[in-house]
Amino acid sequence: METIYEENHSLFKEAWKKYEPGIRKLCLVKMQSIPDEIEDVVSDVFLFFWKEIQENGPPKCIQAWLYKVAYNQINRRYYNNNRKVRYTEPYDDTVVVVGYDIDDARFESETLFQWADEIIENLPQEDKLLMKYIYEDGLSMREIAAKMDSTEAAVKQRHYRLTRKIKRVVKERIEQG
Amino acid sequence: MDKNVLKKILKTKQVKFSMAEVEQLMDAELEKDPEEIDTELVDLCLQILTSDSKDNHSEKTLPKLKKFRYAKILIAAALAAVLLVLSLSATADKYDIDVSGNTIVQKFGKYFRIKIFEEREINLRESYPGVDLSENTLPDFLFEDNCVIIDQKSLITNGDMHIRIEFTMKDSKMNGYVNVDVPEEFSLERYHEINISTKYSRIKELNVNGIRVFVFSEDENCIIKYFTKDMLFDLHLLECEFEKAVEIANTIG
Repeated sequence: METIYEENHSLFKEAWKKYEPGIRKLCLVKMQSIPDEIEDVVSDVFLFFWKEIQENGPPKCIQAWLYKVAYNQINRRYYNNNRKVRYTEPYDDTVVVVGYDIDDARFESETLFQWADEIIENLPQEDKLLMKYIYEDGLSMREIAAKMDSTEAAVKQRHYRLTRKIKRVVKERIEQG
Repeated sequence: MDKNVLKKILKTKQVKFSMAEVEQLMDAELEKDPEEIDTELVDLCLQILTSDSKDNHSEKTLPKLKKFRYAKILIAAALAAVLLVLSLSATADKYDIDVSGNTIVQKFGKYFRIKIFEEREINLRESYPGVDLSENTLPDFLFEDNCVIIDQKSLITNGDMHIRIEFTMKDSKMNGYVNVDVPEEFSLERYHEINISTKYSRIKELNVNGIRVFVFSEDENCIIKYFTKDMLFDLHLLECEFEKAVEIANTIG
């Protein structure tokens, strides 16, 4: 029979194999100018993880937990005194086209729309308003930003998150039958 | 709103973002509690930001980073760190902690440790018998009253000792840490070069009391590197101007 230590050890190894590349990428993105510190943060994150599973058992969502610890570590170490110091190259004006990694051929099916009312009804009021502006009134992101007292970038991001969330809910419904 | 809206949403195939917006999108996700983080979205953003996604977006390559020759030292130091301290992390997000910017709260299993900087608890000079951590090898400010040694850790791997000393200042925003590599046997082959990110826009070599000292600076972050007494010192100074770092470097040895 496996001891708790052995179980934890297997869990740790599995988590390292699966999630270490993502944690390293996050560090690379956030700490480009201090590459010598990246190993330090990646190691810290997984050492905290080892401590966590030893003391409290595995977190509910290991990947999310690791991302959060890494993000906190980066902020704690390098964004001191609430003064956000940027440790990365400023981005150029490259425009990237971002797709959805949850698109599904079954989204074309007419039978999906039985859930439309329920899905839309359960959204927060602000999201409903955003959908109205975009899909019913046909307003541009800039116009919506002005109406919602926000920025164009924030509206775009909110729209992306919202559509992604809805696609995921629909996909889950399909899978549940 | 009806099924036509849902249809339009499901047919939305892609959105155009700038790279900065993608990073903001990711940050917003990472600000949430772990239970609410959409890890697939974070993965997607990271793929875009590190340009290794094959199809959904245009290619963009980040500048290559020079690998630090002795990165393993940092890993070793970090390995030691967790044995001593579990700093506030995702597990502590449920706590409402309202303390001043100068107060460090650390979580140790089921209790917090709050250091209030009333007195110096760590005596660097006597910390490691046989290892000269004194004004002979370190800059003077580390031994002055306005410098508080927050933490000190060490680890021995393959006979080499790795020491990390964290400090903060009482009278300024400057803080940072020193990594000291004490090899079992010093060899020129192992320590014949220093690599550093090209982000450090200023590099200055000094000769301080016979020690070759290199000062690197980028904005208000500086690194001072030097070898003395067969040990490698790597001093990271945050919130520190280049001129101040040079002044500090001139007090070594």
